[in-house]
Amino acid sequence: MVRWVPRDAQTRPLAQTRGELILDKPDHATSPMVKSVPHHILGWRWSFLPLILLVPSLFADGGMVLQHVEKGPFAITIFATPAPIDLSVLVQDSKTLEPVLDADVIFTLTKGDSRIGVRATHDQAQNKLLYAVPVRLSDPGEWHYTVSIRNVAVAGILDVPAEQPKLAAYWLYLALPFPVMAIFALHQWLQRRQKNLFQSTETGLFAHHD
Amino acid sequence: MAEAVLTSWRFDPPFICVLALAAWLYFRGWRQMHAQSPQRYTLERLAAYLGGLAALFIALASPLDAFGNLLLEAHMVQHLLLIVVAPPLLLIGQPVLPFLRALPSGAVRDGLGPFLSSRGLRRAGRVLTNPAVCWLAMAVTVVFWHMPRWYELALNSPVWHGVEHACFFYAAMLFWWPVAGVWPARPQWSRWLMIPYLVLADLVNTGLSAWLVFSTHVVYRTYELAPRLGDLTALNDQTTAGAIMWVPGSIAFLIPAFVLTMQALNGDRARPSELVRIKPFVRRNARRPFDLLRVPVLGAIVRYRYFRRILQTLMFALAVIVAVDGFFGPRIAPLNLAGVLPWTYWRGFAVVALLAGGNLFCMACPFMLSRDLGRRFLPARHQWPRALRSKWLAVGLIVVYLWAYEVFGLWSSPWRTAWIIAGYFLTAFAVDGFFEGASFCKYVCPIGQFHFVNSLVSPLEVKVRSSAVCGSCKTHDCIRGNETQRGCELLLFQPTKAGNFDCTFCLDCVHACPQDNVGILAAVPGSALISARKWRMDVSMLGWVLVLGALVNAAAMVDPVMGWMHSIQRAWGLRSMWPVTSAFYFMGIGVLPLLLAWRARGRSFGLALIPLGFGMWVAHFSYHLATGWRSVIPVMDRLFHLSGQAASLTALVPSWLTAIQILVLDGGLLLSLYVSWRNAQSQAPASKGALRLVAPWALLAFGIYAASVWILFQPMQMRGMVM
Repeated sequence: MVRWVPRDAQTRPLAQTRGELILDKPDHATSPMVKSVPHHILGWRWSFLPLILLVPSLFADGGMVLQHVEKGPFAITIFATPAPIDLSVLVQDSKTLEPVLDADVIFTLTKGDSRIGVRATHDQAQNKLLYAVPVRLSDPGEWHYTVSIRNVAVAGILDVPAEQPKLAAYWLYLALPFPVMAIFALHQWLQRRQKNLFQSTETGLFAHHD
Repeated sequence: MAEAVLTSWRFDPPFICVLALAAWLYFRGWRQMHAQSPQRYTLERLAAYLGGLAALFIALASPLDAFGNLLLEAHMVQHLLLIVVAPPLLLIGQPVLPFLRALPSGAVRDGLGPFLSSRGLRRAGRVLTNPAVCWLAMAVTVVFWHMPRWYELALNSPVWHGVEHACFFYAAMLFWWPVAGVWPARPQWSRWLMIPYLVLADLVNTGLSAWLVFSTHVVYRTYELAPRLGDLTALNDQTTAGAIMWVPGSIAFLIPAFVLTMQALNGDRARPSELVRIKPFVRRNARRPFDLLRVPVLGAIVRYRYFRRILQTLMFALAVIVAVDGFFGPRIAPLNLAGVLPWTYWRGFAVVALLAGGNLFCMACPFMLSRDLGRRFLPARHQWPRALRSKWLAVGLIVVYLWAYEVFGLWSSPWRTAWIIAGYFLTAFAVDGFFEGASFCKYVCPIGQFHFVNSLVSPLEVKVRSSAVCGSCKTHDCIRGNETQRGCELLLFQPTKAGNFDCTFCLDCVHACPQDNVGILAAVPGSALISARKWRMDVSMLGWVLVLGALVNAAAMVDPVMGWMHSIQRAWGLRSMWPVTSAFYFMGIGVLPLLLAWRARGRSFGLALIPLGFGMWVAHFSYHLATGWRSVIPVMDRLFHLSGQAASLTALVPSWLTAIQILVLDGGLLLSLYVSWRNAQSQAPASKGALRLVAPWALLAFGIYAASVWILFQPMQMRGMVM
């Protein structure tokens, strides 16, 4: 379970959605030997059968509100999604609440000797009012973050959970053959049953004629 | 701000692909149904179905989705699209018959047939589409998900949000089913009763929306906590959302109720034009299968007499450049073409080509020019030795190649890679310079054997278009050749050829056939593997080596396996790793395949596991391709003194990769199980006997699948990359 611990503002949980995962700069990224954690395990949550009945998954930025603070000329709301971690920020004019769309938003995350600096952008957000950036933090535990917007900086703490085991993350893909096999078994059973029915009808006819 | 809102679209390729596939299938079937029954399958139905898909797209990919967690009114519009717009439009399109028509007749007859004609399933379907059940499903779903506890759950979890949307959509499909009167299902209630059905549904909708509109507090806490955009308060947002649910939602229920009332009052009966009986579902003229050579433009290009020669020349030039760089370039693999192109790109593209098309590597084989030169300058009169007319030599070479790859670290040595390429050219030159036919391809080339075997799972096959034409053929030019074109060098006789085994996609038979009766046709992947006969032991051995080779080759580059091998090396006090690696390979792709191929049953079922093995090859090579697709940049930097972008390269493992790898493995496992089952059925027609026969091989397939998944989950070396 993710625990978000804001430092200087009240916690305001909001809708939790998911974001894109990338690897970041080499200084914080895990070893090249390590493959990425799953981006999302239910990415293709639509149904194949029948095709007319498909429903894809919801995808949006945002996530739970990590922090909401009014500082300087801005009202800043920081959102985060847990695994994979996607940080996003809504920057508004504190007086008019109009979104500020031309800010330069930099996240700095530190834990011990590890230090990551990433730029959040509209390009990485689905909701273009937000500035978003997916980050990969290999080390679970408390990370200190600072968001810098022009001359304003907001700090807080982010509690990063341990990576989900891969079996748990990909269970849906691994389980996929079993329903297919069950459907095939049903298919074969029905086919054989119908064949037997047909044969018994034929035999009956011949018996009648005999 | 408006621009930011309007650009908040999501382009999710899988979702768009599914929508496009649904639209294409419907249109394909609708076109046939429209020709057969234009009164029933009108243009309006086509427009309705496509409109339904568009509504789905807008609901789930538009800014409505992006703003759904900030504004309840946006979320409400999204839900309305999923409940009262998309489902009725899709059902008005009467999609059942068009979809059945769009699918291949064999798939409908043999695949769906038993389900469609099953009395039990039809009864279950009838219960499910009973209007009372449909109405309740919709009412319960809508009320349940609007309760604050569950709505909050959906807002705070992407998984539950997906479940909520799926519930809305599927329940709505059920609800609108009896209203739309989906054909050919028979209506279970009188049309009259659909009027109270709709009015009662509207009452539920009205109750819920009134609750939202008149509530004095914000019902969903999430929206209370969300940052406000402009002057809109959370309560006003909720009131607006309730009004949207109330007015347009009610209209969506009441308009059809009104139309039905008018029809009933007018005593509306089906007009004679609507009573046109649709002809039985029989294809009088079987559709021609897909033929690559008949595709406009592309077909002409592939048929062009010099097309293959051009491809070969390009590949030959590339091979020469790679070899030269390997011999004379830097010894650091990531900076050398010989360290990057063959091991990262070529292998990856070759398996993707096999998966998507066929044996395209052999079609563009760079060694063909070397073989032709050998035939020109050397006698090329001798017959290939009878004792070697099997796959044993090729099997041995594959084993040696896989072993050498690991023991000598070929991926990390451009110089050795260059020697392999040069050796290949020399061997091809010598073998085809002395022996007749395509002895090199058929009996020697290990790369060719890899492609021959795995192309049995490919969706395209060189084969005759009409067997009747071949029946009257006296000249057999496809194998004998004629004055202008040689026949098949690998001695494959088209009328009896099954599958892609030994086929190099050279298209000699295509050009030789005077009847123009050979094409590159669509084939059911793996169908050539279904056989009641035992495979030859050498062919079976080849299959087993490639299946187990996929595992062994990938396992040798994952952390735990390398760790075990190192611990064995230390325990045995060895200075070098090569004895341990050799033992690992000797057991994995030498002894084990031999033991399996030796057994009669192993020969019957050995090739059935090829799809699974191929899945592992694809998963493995696609990992290197996907993670190292930029690994050519440092080489280009070196060769052309570019901007030094290599310095900024990072090792990127795409987030979607593991999911795709598992899906490919899933496909391989299922196809292997299917082929095994069909082979068992052909040997023991009774179910129990077939089950007994297939059980051990199915267990083995699951074992290989589990081992493959385990390997894919391990940290894997990124070989040949500078990152």
